[in-house]
Amino acid sequence: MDYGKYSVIELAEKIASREFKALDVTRFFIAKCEENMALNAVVEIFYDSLDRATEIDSQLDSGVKLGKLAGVPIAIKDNILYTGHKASCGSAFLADFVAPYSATIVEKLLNAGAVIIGRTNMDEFAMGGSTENSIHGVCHNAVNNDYVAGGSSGGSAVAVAGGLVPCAIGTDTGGSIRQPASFNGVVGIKPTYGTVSRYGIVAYASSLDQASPITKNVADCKYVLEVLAGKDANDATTIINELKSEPKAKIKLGVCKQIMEAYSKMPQYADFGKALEKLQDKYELVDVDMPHITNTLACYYIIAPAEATSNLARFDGIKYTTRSESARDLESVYVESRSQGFGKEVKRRIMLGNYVLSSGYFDAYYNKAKSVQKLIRKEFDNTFDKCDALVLPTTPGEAFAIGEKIGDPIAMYMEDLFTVPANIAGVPAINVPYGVGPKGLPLGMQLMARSKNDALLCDIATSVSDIFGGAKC
Amino acid sequence: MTYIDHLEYLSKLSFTDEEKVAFDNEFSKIIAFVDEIKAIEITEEGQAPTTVTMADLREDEIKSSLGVDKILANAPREKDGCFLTPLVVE
Repeated sequence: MDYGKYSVIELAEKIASREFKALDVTRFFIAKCEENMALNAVVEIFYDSLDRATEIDSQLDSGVKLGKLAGVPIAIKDNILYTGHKASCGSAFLADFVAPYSATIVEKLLNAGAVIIGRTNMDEFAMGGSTENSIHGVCHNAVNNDYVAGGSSGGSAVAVAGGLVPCAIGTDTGGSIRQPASFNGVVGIKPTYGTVSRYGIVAYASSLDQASPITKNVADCKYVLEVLAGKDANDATTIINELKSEPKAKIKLGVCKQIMEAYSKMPQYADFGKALEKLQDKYELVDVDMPHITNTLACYYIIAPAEATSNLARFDGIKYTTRSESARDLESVYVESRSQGFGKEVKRRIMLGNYVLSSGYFDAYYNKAKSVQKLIRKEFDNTFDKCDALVLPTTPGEAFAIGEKIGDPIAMYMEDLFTVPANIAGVPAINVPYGVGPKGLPLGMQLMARSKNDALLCDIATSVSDIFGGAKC
Repeated sequence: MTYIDHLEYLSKLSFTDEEKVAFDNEFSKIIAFVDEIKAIEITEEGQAPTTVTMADLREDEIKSSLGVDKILANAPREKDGCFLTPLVVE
């Protein structure tokens, strides 16, 4: 039986009705992971998932009613804690770290009956846009293995696109779900900040981080997001977000002048223009002016490293698995453990964070960036008075070749140009595949909506996805 | 002390001289890139909030914690239920 042709919702229904056995479904996807280890998307298969699937079957057979994901295999990014399982964050520093407790979202997945079958590759500490900066090695694009997966949740996107799992959880601080989803032709959402608890997820930039599902279609994405969402006593930044929407007669989509101007210099401008023409049959497209939207990238590369440098201060060679063998005193325990344990990009961002926070620069960089963030949030608020959602590209182009940008940090950072605005503004955003570029790789369209309008965003994304031929399952 | 030496100190990291030269080159480009925010005119006071209000905080209830054994299971060195560090006080 090819369980790979079914959506998350279909698998959940058929397992609940006992048409499918959770164990058969789990075995099928584990076999897919094993066959595709060369993609380097799933870096460890959790074989205890077979016992869990057996237990789920046994409960369902005895008439116990389980949650909405009962028996559905799901993979989680390598920065999400699952008790008793490794979570290395793609870093040598945490190579042997075993989670002493589970993240709130893992508890929610398990309470809903999900079967967590493995952990997925990522850029070290979620810092990167290609999943080339990982202790597990480079993750390959699911469509063409010579190209990057995108990042930092590259493993999660490739695992879904390659049919290794029906759903994988990623995290998105500046586009780390949407960009790899775009590069691999799948759906990925970054919810309104606070919708999903960050408790038990290794922090990168706490005021921007959100976890969420990557799936093949929008309905699945929303279905799993409903499981993950909710106010959490262990994360004070969580909010009540009902994920409910009212049907709207005529949807207005905003096309941002400044985004289109930036995109006009990029190779897929014409493709995107044609895609917008297709949308005109169903939606009213309105031009919107957002003078500071392209400044969000600079803002992001100040705020995110500033928070990262504080968050990563906990990795001191004393508490978390790694200590330099050569360290002789306390200072050298710190310095040598960190110097040996962290990779190049992580060190770069720690240094950048300390630069923008250091005496003499704090006002000019960090404080200014936080003021600009307020300005950008206001700009988004005003924009959503004129339209229901913004429509923009997800990435500057198709996936790039492995090795192409790894030596050029600025070129890599530019990959985030269209995704970071949603994180800086705190609004929900989703990637929907809309076509294929000249290299034969997927192109993604991004939609953003007002805070807490995640459900409306999913409604719009569903109908946009239908216009471009719908999802693969 | 150069600015890189200072950042190295603040970051508790150590670089070779060769790495510092490469880093200086990359870092100046990154700073030039983020410098664009300096030109943005701010007409309204205030910043985007990074903290939550008191109303968002949970009740202050006593709950059990994970336990020493679980926490120390990830420690690189431990002794008698404590994290082991090099001698810090003579």
